[in-house]
Amino acid sequence: MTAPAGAPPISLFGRLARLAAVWAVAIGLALGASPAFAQLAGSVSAQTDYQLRGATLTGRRSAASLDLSYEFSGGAYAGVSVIAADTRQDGPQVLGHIGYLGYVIRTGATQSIDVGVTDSELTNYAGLIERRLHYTDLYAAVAGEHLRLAVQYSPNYIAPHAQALYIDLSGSRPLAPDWWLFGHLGYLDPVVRPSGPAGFRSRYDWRIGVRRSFGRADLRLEWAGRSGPVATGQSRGGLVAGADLHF
Amino acid sequence: MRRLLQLLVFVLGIALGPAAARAQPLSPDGADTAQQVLVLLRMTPEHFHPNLEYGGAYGAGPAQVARQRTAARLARDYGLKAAGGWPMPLLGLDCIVLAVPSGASPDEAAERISNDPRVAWAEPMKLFHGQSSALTHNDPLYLAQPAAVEWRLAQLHGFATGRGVRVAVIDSAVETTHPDLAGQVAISEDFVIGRPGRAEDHGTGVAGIIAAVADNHLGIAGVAPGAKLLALRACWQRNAAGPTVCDTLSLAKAIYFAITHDAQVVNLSLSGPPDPLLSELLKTALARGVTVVSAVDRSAPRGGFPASQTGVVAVAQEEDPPFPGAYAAPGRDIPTTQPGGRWAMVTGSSYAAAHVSGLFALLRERGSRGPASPALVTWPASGGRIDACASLSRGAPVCDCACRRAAN
Repeated sequence: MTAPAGAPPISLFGRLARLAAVWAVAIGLALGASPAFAQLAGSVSAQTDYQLRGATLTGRRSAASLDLSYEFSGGAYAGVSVIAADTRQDGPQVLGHIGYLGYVIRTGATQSIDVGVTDSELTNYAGLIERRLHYTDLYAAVAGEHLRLAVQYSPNYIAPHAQALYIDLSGSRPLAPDWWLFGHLGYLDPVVRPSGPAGFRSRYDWRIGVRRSFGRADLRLEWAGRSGPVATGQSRGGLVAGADLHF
Repeated sequence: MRRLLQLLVFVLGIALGPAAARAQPLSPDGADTAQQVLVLLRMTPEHFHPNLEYGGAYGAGPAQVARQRTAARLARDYGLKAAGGWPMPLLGLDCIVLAVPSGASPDEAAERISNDPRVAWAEPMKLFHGQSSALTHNDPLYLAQPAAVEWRLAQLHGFATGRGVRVAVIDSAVETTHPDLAGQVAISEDFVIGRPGRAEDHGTGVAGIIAAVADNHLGIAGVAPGAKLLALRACWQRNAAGPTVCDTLSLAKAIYFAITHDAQVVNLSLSGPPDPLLSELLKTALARGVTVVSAVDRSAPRGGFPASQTGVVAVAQEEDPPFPGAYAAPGRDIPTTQPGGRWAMVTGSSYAAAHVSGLFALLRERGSRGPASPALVTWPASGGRIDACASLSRGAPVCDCACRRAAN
């Protein structure tokens, strides 16, 4: 269910309820899995911009996120990412969350297939008016040692009945000990385009950057951008710096 | 900018906190590897993270932290200590190294862990050993010695070094203080009258070929580095670069001394006219089981004396045409010891004879039964070129030194 632009945000309780539902399903899956190397993992990140498929949601302002995931031994996993943004008008605000549930299976030494579902509830602070975004994605990905191809289908991308397909090609390759080169190319296509202001055109987005690992922490610098029209005062591309801490 | 700095400080604050201590790299430490167990796991592949870049099948970040956490958990569960590990993408395995406490059995630990359903398998760290003793010596000139290759000297020394064998070098003065002969000369005597003894080229060179110390990071390795020399000066060098000369009396005294002082091998890298006194002494030596080795003089009838005496092992330089009745051994461009603590290249049948004396010292150590001077094995149709390895391993099918070692 998507709240129209300008409508009161869903309560924090409502958000937590959704997350609890995701975790309930995840725990249910866990009951059928052996208690081998199941473990909780997480990351804390900070970056100078938060983008959704190439579009900034923070207006080139800083954001921080917490990613928690639980990995079951059989390949099932569930997690949630909570994002906070430094908004221009109201200072630090919760930008939203993304809950996910999936299953990954190894098909070769370095190959795997990953399927799952995500539920995203985000706020776009980049425009003149805050805009709530809520959509669900079904995704399927095949990954190798250095490349991953993911296809994400949303039956309600940003607007009801707005079906969208997002194709994500991402890669990562070591440059030297503790140095990595990463890149991403994405293509968003409105399968069924809604009319009115919620409509959007197909576009592609990209990122290319380097990451330096310091044990559990990473620093990254990337150039990110997208095609298509952008809001007044914004650019299609720019540098984004970030830091991640994994635990 | 201020807000960005606040966010970065926030992240760094977490990074510096005790709960987020920098993870130890999973790399094997310097612990005793014999007390370690390898645990092989099939790790779950990296999964989708909506907020993180794809890090590869075995990327850094969450995957690395997960491996470290798994290693710590396994170590805790089995009372061991995580000692390292690394991913093996080509095998789809993660390898974790666990250290077993001193006194505990790595085999037992590996067996217990192998029964863990979480583990693909576990095995104790194993040690592997090279299958031959030193295939070379660390003496810097070793590889310049023809015998290093032709006779596979280093492999021979895996069987024998001449330990316990006395070799009499009846020659000009040996530099007993030469660093490559340190400790190799048991007795040094001078039988030359009227010519004061000082280190001389010929004797020092012959001695070095026979018994130079091996693996002392100096010079060469002798054919019989375990033998002890009786350095018996019976010859002298006429001038600084002159020929080496001996007389009947000094030689007789030296041969007599060698016999009475239990020399098992006598090296006579010299040649001259037949001499009845010396002949009698040599017969006595041969009768007492002494191996007498002499150099061939191609210009003399039957190779000169004492090479022509029955029972004496005659040796010619293998680089020259074969000499009837004589063995052929390396004799050209032989690196060996020289006075003044030096080494130099020498050429001549004298040095070929020295090689054979050393070889007989090896045979003596091996306790060869039968004649004191058993026939050496030669390469077929080679004009007497010695197959040192086969000679040392006589009585068995001809094969290389390595398989002879296995058979023994």
